[in-house]
Amino acid sequence: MYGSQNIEWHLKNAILSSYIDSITAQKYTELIKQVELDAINGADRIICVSENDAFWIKEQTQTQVILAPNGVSPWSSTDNGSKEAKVITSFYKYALYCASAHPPNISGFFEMFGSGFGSLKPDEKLIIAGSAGWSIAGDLRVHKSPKLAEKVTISGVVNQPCLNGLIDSAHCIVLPLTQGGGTNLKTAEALWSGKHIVATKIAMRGFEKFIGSRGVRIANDSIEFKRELRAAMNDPVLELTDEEKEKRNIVLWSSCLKPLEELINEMVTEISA
Amino acid sequence: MSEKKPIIWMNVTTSVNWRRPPVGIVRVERSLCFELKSLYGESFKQCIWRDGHFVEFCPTVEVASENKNFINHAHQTESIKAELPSIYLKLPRRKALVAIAQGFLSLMPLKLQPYVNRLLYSLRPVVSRALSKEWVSSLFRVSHQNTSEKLVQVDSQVIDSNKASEIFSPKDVLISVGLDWDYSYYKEFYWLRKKHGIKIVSCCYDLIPVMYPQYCVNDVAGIFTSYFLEVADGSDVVLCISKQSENDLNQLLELTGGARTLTHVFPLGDNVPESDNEAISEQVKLACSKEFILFVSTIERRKNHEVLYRAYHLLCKQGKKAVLPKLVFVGMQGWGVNELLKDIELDPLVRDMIISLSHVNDSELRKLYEMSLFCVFPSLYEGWGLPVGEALALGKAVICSNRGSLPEVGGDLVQYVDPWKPQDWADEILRMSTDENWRKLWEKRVQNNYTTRSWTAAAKSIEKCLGSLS
Repeated sequence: MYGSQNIEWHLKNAILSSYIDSITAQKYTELIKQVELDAINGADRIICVSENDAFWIKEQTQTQVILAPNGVSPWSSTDNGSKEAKVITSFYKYALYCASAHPPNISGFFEMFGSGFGSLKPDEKLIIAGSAGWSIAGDLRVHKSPKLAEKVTISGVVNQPCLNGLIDSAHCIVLPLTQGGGTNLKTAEALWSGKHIVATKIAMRGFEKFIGSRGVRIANDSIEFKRELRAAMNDPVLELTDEEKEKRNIVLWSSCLKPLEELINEMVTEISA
Repeated sequence: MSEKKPIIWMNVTTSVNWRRPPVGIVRVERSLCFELKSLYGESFKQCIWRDGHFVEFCPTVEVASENKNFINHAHQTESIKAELPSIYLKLPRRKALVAIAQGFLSLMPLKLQPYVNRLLYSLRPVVSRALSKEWVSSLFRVSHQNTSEKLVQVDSQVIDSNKASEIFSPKDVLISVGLDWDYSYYKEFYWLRKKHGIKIVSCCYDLIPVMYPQYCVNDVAGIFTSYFLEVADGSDVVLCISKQSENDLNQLLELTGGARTLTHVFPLGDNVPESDNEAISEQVKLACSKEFILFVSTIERRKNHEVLYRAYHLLCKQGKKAVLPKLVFVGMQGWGVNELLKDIELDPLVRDMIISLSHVNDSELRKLYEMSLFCVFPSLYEGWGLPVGEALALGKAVICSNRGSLPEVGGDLVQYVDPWKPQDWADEILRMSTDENWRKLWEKRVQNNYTTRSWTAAAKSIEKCLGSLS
């Protein structure tokens, strides 16, 4: 059974192209693509995490492909976690960006927040949690976009209770991804949190059914993204109805992995027979 | 019970600290202050930013001219401060700490810089929190007071208060139209609005540092972008001196996600001050003794004196020197024009044709306008273009650049020329200089159609805007 979190050759091509010359990037991309195709063609069953990925894989093979998106486990914040979070946020009203230092997370951030950052009021901040923070802090672009460095607070990598506290007290969660495949776990996390979300369409991959739902703002270019962030920060705290909360339960692992469970049962039955 | 009438406060920090004859923004601040005082009477007060908070400012010497009011005070304080000047420009404490951190980071070996950068990021919120603590603020206030002790002692007109909000009451209006970006007080606007319910009226003159940083000293685009973003969040209304400035501001706010605050375009007064008791210098008399074309502006790259020099060079080369009037530049020398001024000085073709005058008083300026054959204004970009309005107010023909806000000032009463085309300037200057009928035609159009914009009208426009705020 082959499970892919991404269409790797596609993503790696974008990353390599930003570091090395196009011919070399193309050469390595082809090698990655071949590895991926070998895995696809050698598999008995294939699991994908997004419809986009599934679409491409289905074009390459006759093997059964199922969709089992990434999800999250339900959480609740603890007093200690909230206290730790408050040390970082200094009681500011804030938008939160949780991300690793994976290059697309950094390039998306600067694509969306470059050329001046005016989305936040003087008493608002943009907190960056995760290793992305250090990469962003060390990048000259953060100083070249007026007001961005002033608005950003880097928490770095934090423990889970603190992260839960940060999410719990955030007014809005931003998902400024402009490349990459698969589904973004952070999108699932943001949806489950019930906070305002400002995301690119790419960040919503795998969770398309939430586009247009209350509290989810989609923006695909820098101007729109900054404007939507300001609008989200100006909105009152998002209070989801029970019905809306229920709909968001599909981002939990229990729901996401259901197709996989069915597939495994089916395979076990096949083997037993 | 009758409700307390809101006070209209005018922030006159720029004027009070100004040490030279008023130009540009200083003139705007003083003129508006004078007019608004007449309009609002007892409900109008002045304030200045001192030692980290706003204090009431009561000028002692009441004189007829709005400008002298400030100049008198400025002279008083200047004599008090006659001591060794600061070796460097003094910074607000936050900016000073940033400068120290910047220096620390820059002087580190390259290998250590990412770690130091990381450390500084971690320290920033801690330092920020510490700075906001009252005991730290008071520490800074005490140390600052030591340096300005003499000034405070003698300056008894200043009514002190401990906190920025204490002189203001909710619903009061604070109008700030000075060189606000040079001070730290604009960062208080947001808090005054949010915490104390004070209405803030700020001003956008132009976005030249953001849009054309190449014409400014250093790269100030980032600093001014931050300034405008802060002001947009902190203002109930931003006054704009032209539709062009209003559009530029809105465009910047749109691009950066800034607050879309209310804007109001108000007309700057362009009545050239009459001052009959100021002496006319020999230099000005000499300039006025022969025919000349006038260009009133600081000499800096954006103002495009270069295109006039090139036009004159072309005309002289074509053998027109004998029919050309002199070209008079009135204004102080700014940044980035050394080479141009050297060219003008050394070029054998134009050497005697271009005269530069600076530190011209109001009487001299008026005389120069009146005696000029016509006026030129080839600027590459403007937020308004006061000299064009002043020339028109005195019935002069004007050849003008068609960029920025200039068409708003000149309408169809001036002749427009592309500021990047020296030959076109040469052609139009030659025609306006040598074809008297042509020049008279333009003058007649101006005299019949131009309505002088007064500072009273400017103040009334602001009054109307303030009325709509409540």
